[in-house]
Amino acid sequence: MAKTGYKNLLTLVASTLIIGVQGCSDGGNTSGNSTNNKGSTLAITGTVQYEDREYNQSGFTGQKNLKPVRFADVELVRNSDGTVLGSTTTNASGSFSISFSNTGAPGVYIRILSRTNDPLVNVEVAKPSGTLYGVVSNTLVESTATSFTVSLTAPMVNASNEAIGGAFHIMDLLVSGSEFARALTGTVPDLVKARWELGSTSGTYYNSGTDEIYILGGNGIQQGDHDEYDDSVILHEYGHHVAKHFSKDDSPGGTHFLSDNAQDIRLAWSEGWATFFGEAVLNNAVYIDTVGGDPPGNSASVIDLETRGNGSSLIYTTNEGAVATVLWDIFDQSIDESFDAIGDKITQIWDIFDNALVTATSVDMEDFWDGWFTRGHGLETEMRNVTTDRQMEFTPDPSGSNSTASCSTTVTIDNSIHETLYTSTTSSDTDYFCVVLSQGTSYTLQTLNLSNGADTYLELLDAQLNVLTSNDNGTDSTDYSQCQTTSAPGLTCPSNSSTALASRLTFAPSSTGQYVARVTRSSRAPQSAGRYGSYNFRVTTP
Amino acid sequence: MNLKIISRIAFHLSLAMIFVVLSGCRNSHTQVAEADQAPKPQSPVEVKLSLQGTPSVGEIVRLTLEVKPLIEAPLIRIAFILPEGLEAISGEPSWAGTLAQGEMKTVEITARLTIEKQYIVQGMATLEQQPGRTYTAVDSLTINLQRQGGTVVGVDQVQAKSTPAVKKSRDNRDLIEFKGED
Repeated sequence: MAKTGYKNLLTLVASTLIIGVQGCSDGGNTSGNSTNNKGSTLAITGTVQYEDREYNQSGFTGQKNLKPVRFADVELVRNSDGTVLGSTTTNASGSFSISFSNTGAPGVYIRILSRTNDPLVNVEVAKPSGTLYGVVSNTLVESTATSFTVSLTAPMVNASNEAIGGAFHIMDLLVSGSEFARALTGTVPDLVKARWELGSTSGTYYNSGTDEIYILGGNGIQQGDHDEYDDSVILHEYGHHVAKHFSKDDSPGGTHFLSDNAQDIRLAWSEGWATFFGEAVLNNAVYIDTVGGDPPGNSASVIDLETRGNGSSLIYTTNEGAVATVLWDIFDQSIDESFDAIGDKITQIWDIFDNALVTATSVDMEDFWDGWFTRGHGLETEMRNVTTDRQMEFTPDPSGSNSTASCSTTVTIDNSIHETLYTSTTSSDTDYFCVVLSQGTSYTLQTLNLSNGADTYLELLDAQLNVLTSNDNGTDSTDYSQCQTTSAPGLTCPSNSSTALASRLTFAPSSTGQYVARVTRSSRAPQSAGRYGSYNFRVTTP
Repeated sequence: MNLKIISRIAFHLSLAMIFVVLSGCRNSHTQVAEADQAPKPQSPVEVKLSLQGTPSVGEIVRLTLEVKPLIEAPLIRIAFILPEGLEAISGEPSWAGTLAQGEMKTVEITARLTIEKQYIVQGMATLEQQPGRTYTAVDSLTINLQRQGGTVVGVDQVQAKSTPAVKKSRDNRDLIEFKGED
C-alpha cells in the first residue's frame, strides 16, 4: 500500500515537472501569443472576481453571483523560487495590468492576496492564525507569449472543497465600509484585520485592542452559523472599528441581545451605532444575519429598521435596535412616516459622531441627542418625533413643570405621575411632588417603571423642605457608581430594568399636612445608566 | 526510509479507520465579556441539540432539541435539519407554536444512520416576534462515521479542509494559495 503510494507520488512529481517544463497553462483562464521572450518586458492584464452568496430575509437562497475583487494586492511570482517580480492592485472593477521582466527560470504566475496596499483602503483578511488567502493563476511561461490575459475567480468553494470566496467577500465589505467613512471624513480609516476560516467557531466580534474582526465560520458551508457572507454582520463589526478610530466608544462589551430594552446605555449606543453604520453603508434598512445553508436548511435573524408594527419592541435609549432605528430615520431619504419628517442627514450624524461624542464622559444616545443641538443642527421637533417614536424621552417635565418646590405638581394617593430627569440645560433635573399625608397612616412613596436609563434618588421633605427620609435603590444598598471600573472590576452594573434602580421608602407622618417628595438622579448612579431617563412616581397606602 | 515499516504503519492506521466521533462541533454564540470585545447581536433564543445512543451504520439514535426563548415568542418554529443518510423514524421533526419567555420546548426524534459518512445535524429555531423582527438560532453537531484514510462514502456536504492547497511564506507572513477558477 505504502509502496504504491510512493510510486504514485513519484509519478505525480514527474508529471508536475513535465508540465512545468512545457509551461503548459493548463486551463482556460490564461491566453497569450507565442514567442520567445526571456528577459524582455512582458505584460499581463486580468480581472479577478469572487463568488458571492445571495440571501434574503429567509436566509441563503442557493443562488450565487460574481463580484469584482476590488483593490486587492496583485503579485507576479516566479514559479521556481517564489520571487515577486512585480506588484500592483486591482481597481474598482477588479481589473489589473502588470509588466514584468523575468531573467530567471521561466514560469510565473499571478497571485491575488486578501489584503491591499492601496493607500486609500486599509483592510486585510486572513485566517485566525494570521495566514493570508491567495488566489493564483495557472503558470504563465514567457516563451509562449508576449502578453497574457488572466481571468481569475475565487469561488465559494473550489473543486477541492476549499472555501475561498468568503475571504474576498469579507474584504469587499470592509472596502465598502472604508470608502463610506473616507467619503465622510476625507481620512482613510486605520487598518482593520478580519480573521475568518470555514469552521471557525470563535464567534463574530470586533477586538478593539487589536483592531481585528473575528468572523464565524460555521460548521461546514451549509451548516451552523457562519457570517462570511452576511453583509450586515460584517459591516456592523466594522462600525465598531470606525467608532474607535473616529469617535469614542465606552461600551463594556460582552454578549447582548437586540431585543433587550434594558441594556447598559453605553452598550446600546455602541451596538446601535454599529448596526446603523452597516446598514447605512449598504443603504438598506434590513439587518440580516443568516444561519444554516441553502434551502431548505436556511434561516436568518432579521431586523427591519423601517418597520414598526403594533407594539414595536425596540424601545428606549437602552436598546441597541432603538438607537439604530432612530439613526436610520435621521439618515434615510424617507420622510413619509408620520413621525419621520427628517432625513438625509448623514453629514450631521457624522459631525456629532466625530466632533461631539469624543468629548463625552461616557458615550451614549443622550450624548448624541445633546450633541445634535450643541453642534447647531436644529430641527428639534423632528428630532423629538423620531426619538419619541422609540419611546426615548428627551422631554423636560412631561407632566408639567415641577422643578421647584412650589407644589405645582400635586400627587393624589394611588395615582401615578409620569416624569423624566431630562433637562435641556447643563444642570441636572430635580422633580418635586407635593402630597398631603395623614397622621397615623403608613405610606409608600416610590419611583417605578423606570426606563431610558433612569436611576432615581427619592427624598421626602417636610413643608419647610427639611429632609425627613430618603432612598436610592430600594432594599439594595450597593454603591454601583464604580461598577465594572478599575475601582470595582468585580461589581456587575445593574440592569436598566424598570425596577433595579427604582427608589422606595415608607413613611408614617407624626402630623397631618403637606409633604414634598423630591426626585433626582442618584449621585451613585452607575455608568451603565443614563444621565436622564423616565420614571413614574406614586404614593400608596401602605 | 524503510518502505516496509511505512507500509505497516499505514496498514495499522487503516485498520482503525472506522471510528465514531461525536465531536460536538458547536458554533459558540457567546463571547467573553471583555471591554475590548464587541460581539455581534445575539438572538434571544437558546437552542441546544444533543444526541443519545451509540452512532454506527444501521443504528438508531435519538436526537433532542431544546429551545428556550428569552423573550415572549408569539410564534416560534423549531426544526431538525437532517443530512442525507440520516432518516427520521419517529418523533417530531418540526414544531411551531407559542412559547412564553423562558419556557422550554423539547422535541425529539429517532433516526437511523444509513451510510458511512460525516453527518452534520442541525437544530434550528426561528422566533417571529412581529413583522420585521425575526430571531433565529441554530445548533449543530457532527457525527463522524466516515473511514479515515480510506474511501469516504457518501459525502454530500462540503466540509472545511484542514490542509490547504499550498502554504507559503511571504515576507515572514504565512500565505495559502488556492487555484483560482475560470
